[in-house]
Amino acid sequence: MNAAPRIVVIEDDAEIRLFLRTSLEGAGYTVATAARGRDGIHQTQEPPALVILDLGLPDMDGVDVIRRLRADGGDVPILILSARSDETQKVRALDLGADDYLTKPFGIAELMARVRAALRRSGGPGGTIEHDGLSIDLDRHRVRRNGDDIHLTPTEFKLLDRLVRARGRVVTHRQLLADVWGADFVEHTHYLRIYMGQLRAKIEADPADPRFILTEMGVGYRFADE
Amino acid sequence: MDTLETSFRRSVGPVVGAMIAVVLVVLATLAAWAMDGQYSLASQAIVYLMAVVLAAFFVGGPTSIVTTVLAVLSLNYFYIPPRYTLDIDQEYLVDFAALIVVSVVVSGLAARLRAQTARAREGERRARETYALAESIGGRMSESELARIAAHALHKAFGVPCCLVLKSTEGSLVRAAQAPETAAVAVDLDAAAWVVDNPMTIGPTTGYWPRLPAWYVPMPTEPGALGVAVIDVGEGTDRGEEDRRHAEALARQIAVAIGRARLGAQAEAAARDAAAESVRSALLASISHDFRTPLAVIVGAAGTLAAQRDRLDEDKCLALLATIEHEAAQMSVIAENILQLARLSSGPLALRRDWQSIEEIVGSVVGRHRHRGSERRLSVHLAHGLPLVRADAVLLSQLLSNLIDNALRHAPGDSPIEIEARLKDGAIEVAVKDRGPGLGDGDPARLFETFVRGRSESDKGGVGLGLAIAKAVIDAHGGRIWARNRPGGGAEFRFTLPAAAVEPGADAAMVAEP
Repeated sequence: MNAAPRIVVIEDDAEIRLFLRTSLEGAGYTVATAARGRDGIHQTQEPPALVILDLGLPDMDGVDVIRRLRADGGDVPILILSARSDETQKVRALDLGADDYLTKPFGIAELMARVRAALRRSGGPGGTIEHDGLSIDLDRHRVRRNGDDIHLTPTEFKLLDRLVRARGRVVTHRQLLADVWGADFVEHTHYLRIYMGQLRAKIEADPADPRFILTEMGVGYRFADE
Repeated sequence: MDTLETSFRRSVGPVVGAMIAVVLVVLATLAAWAMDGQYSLASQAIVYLMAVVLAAFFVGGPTSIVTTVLAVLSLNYFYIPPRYTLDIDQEYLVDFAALIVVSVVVSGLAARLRAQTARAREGERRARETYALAESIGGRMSESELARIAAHALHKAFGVPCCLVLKSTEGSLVRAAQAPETAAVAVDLDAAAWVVDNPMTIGPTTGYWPRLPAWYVPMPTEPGALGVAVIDVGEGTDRGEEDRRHAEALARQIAVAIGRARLGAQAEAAARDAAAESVRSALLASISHDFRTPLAVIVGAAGTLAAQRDRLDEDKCLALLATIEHEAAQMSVIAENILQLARLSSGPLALRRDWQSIEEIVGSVVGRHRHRGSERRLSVHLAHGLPLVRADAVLLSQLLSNLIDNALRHAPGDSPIEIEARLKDGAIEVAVKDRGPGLGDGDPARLFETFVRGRSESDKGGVGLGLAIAKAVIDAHGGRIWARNRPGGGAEFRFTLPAAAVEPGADAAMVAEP
C-alpha cells in the first residue's frame, strides 16, 4: 500500500528541485521531478496529489501548463512558484485555476504550510472552525470570539465563509468578488476593501494588525491556518 | 480698398479687363456729357484722362491700352467738332494730339509706379514670410517637426509643391518632409547629393542643371549643407533672381533652425547618457555594498558550521543558521528593491492602481516585519475611518517597508518606531518616526536625491536606494514625501497621498444592509 501522497515538482532550477525533493521527502511525501513543462505534464498522467509548478519554465509558459492540467476537468491541486514578485502573473495563474503560490525565496515552514493547505483542498466542508479564540460555525452562520457572539451582516458572513472554507490558501480579489457579490462585480474592488475593513473591525483584536484574515498584497486574502 | 489692393498682385483676365475699360470710358463720357456747354473741351478731355490714369495705375497691362484707345475715340466722336463723327476739325487737331501724347505718357508713368509698388509689396511679403518662418521655428522642436513647418512655409511662399531632403547623421539623404496639402514632389537624389556637395541653387533659370523640373536650394551649415529644399517651380518657369534669392534665404533660415535642433538633441542625449551613467555607477556601488555585507556573514557562518560543527553546541549551530536565514532574507529585500527601481526608472511608470485601504497596507507591512522579529519596536496609530485611496498596493507597501527598514536600521535596538496615518487637508498623511540619531546636517530634501545625483553612499548601505524608490513611488501617485528631525531627537519621514475624489463608500447599493 502506498500511503505517501505523490507530489510532482516542475521546476527548471536544479538547486531548487533538490531542495524541494529533500524537504518534501523528509516530510514523508513521494516526489517526482521534471525540469521542463512537457516532462512535468507527462508525469501527471498518473494523477498526483499535488503539482508544484514554477511559472518560469524554459520550454513553455507556466500558465499554459496550468491550462493543460485544468483541461478536461482536471482538478489536481497546483501550487505555483514564482521567482519574480510580479503580482499580475501570479493573479493570472491563480484565476486560471492554480490553488496557491509561493514567492521565491521561501522557507521550508512556508512551503510545508502551503503544501498541507493545498492537499486539504478537496473538502471545503461545513462544521465549526476554531482558530485562536475565534469560532466560526459555517452551518449556523454563527461567529464567536472568546465566547462572545459577533454579529455579521449577510455579506460579511459570505466573505468570511468563502475565506474560511479555503483556509490556509490565498483567494484572489477577483474570486472573492465573483463568489460573494457575483460575476458582474469582479472590478468593484472598493466593495471588497470596505467590507474587509468592516469584517476585520468585528473579528480582529487589532484590525491594523490582523491575525485571522491576512492580506496578500496585490493578490488577495488568506485565512490564517494552524 | 481690398479689391484694389489685390489688383496689384493679380493681373485681371482679358474679359474683365475689357469690361473695366468700357465702364471707365462710359463713366467719363457721362461726366463729360453733364459738363457739356458749361465747361470747355479741355476740361472734358481731362475727365477722359482721369479714366486712362486710373486704368493704368490700378489695372495696367492691356486694360490700360484699351482704355486709352476707347477714351480717345469717345472724346473724338462725342465732343470734338464735328461732333458724332470721327472727323476732326483742323483747329482741334492740336488738342486731340495733346490728349493722345499725355495719355500715353501718363499711363506709362502710372504703369511704372504700379510695378514699383507691386515690387515693394512683394519684398514686404517676402520679408514677412521670412519673419513668420523665423517665428514659427523659434521654439524647441524636434527635427521632423521643424522640417514639416519649413516645407509648409516654402509651399506658402511659392505656391508650388515643396519638400525637404535632409542628410541624416549617417550621411545618407532622406526625404524628410513635404507640405501636406500638395502633390508629391519627385526628388532626384543625384541632384540633391550634388547640391549638398556644392552648395548652390540648381534647376530652371539658374543656369545649372536646367533640365530639372524643380529648384534644388541648399540648406547651408558649417561645413557643407545639411540638406536640400526642393521647390517644384516647373521646367518652364519665369521665376527669376529675386524669387531664387528668397528661396535661398528661407532655406538658410531652415538650415540654422535644424542645425540648432540637432545640436540640442545631441546635448540632451549626452546629458541623458551622463545621468544614466551616474545612476548606473551609484546603483553598482549600492548593490555591491549592500550585497557584500550579508554575503560575508553568510559565507562566514556557513563556513564555521561546515568546519566546526562537532565542536559547537546546538544553540550556537542554531544561532548561526538563523543568521544565515536572516541575512539571506535581507538580500532578497535588496534584490526586490533593485527590481522595482529598474521598473521605476525604465520609463513612464505603469501604476497598477486600485482602491486600497491604508489600514490594510500598514497592517500587512507591519505583519511582515513582525515575521522578521522586530515586532516589539513597532507601534501603529491609525485614525479611524480613513478613506480608500487609488494606489498601487505593491509599490506602496514596498515604500512603507523601506521607511520602516530604514528606521529599524538607524535607531537603537530598543527604541520605538511609530507608524501613523491620518486625514489632513484632503490627503492621507502617513508618518514613520524613530528615536535614532536624526538626519544629520544638510538639506533633508537631498536625502531623496542622493541616489539620483550619484552622491557617495553613507556607511548605512541601501539608504539611497530605498529613499530614491520612495520618492519615485510617491511622485507617481501625485503625493509628497519629506523628512525632518523630531523635537526630542530622532527622524521622521512623512508622505501624503491624495485621497480619492469620489468616496466609494457613498455607493448606495452596498451600504443598504442590516
